Amino acid sequence: MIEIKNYTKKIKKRIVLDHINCKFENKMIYGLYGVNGSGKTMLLRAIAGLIKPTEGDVLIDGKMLHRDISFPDSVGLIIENMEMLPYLSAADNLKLLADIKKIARDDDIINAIKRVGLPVNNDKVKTFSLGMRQKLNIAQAIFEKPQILLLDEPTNALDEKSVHMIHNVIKEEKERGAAILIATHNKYDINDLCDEVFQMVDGRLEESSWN
Amino acid sequence: MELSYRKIFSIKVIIVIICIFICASFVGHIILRKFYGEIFEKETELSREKGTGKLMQSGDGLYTYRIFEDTGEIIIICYNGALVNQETTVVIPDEIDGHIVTALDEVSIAYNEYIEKIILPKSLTTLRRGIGANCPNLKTIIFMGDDISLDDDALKYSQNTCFSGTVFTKKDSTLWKYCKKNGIQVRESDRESE
Repeated sequence: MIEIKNYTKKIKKRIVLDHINCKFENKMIYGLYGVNGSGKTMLLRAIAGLIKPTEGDVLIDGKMLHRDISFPDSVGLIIENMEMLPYLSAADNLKLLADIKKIARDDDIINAIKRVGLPVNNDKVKTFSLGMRQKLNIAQAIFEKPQILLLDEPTNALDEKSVHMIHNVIKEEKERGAAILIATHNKYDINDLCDEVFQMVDGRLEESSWN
Repeated sequence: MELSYRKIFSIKVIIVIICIFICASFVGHIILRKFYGEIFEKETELSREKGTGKLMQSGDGLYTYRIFEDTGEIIIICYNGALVNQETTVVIPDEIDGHIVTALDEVSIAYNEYIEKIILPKSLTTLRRGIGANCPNLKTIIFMGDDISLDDDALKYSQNTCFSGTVFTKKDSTLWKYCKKNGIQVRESDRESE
């Protein structure tokens, strides 16, 4: 479970996250929607441990970020501007990442690539289209079967059929037990996926009456 | 002259060190095999299950596979048709690049929004988990071969979902019985394909 207590982040006197309080449970998909610059991505960064708070805390399963742990133990992440190594194949890119924590086997890597609808071959990432690169980013987020998934605009650059397929993958991850946060301004993502929806407005998190 | 002698000497030293290292590795490998043979056997068994060596791609780009070293047969790791030709009927061949196809790996034909029918080769002896998973338009699976070894969740995709179309196969075969057991619609067919 993720617990955010009175979290505030200021960058050069500008408040980008404003006294955020909420809990995110396992086996749930949460939507964060809002205009560009509302703080969606910043909140995902905060939970991932990539930024430190000006005030407040983030607790992951009772452990405080930046005090008990530096980063969540088990997190899969898609944040803007992710790039894979262009001269390696999809599988080789994931193998490099797998070497960090050494929890994913070759099978996990190949299955993740298959699940996002990418071919399993030796084609280099530099030959991939934008949509294929986005699928690879999703594969990278899920291949270690993390407990937390933080997805920033996961269906960017995907065609309609691929969006449908990726939605099914995200639902499978929910069934596996992950707590999933999706930052998006895509209404179809919200409608099809999310159990609960929050609106970000000027760094504040507000419960939404999205229908 | 002295400088040249030093160079030759240092090259010889390097060669000797490399030879010692190679011999030590060889001896170490023999010792490890003798005392920890079981671990090596287990790794070899896992390799047999999945095939060994690097991933190979069929000439038409449709299939990624591995070869079982002991038999030369193939396990298909992935069907790449969604990106290659977007076919709605997938006919898995008996042979790829001269190797007989005997196994489909887990989710090897899956996560494909185009496929409506899968025709499996008679040469198939193993069907692993998740065949047809997340293929929203898949309605028909045909297998006219003999008995086949099936993972428990070969056509069962989660606790509550399994293949929702129709399987055509020989009556009372293992696939027939598997479908009956899991509530999957199954019909007998004498024809190669429907």
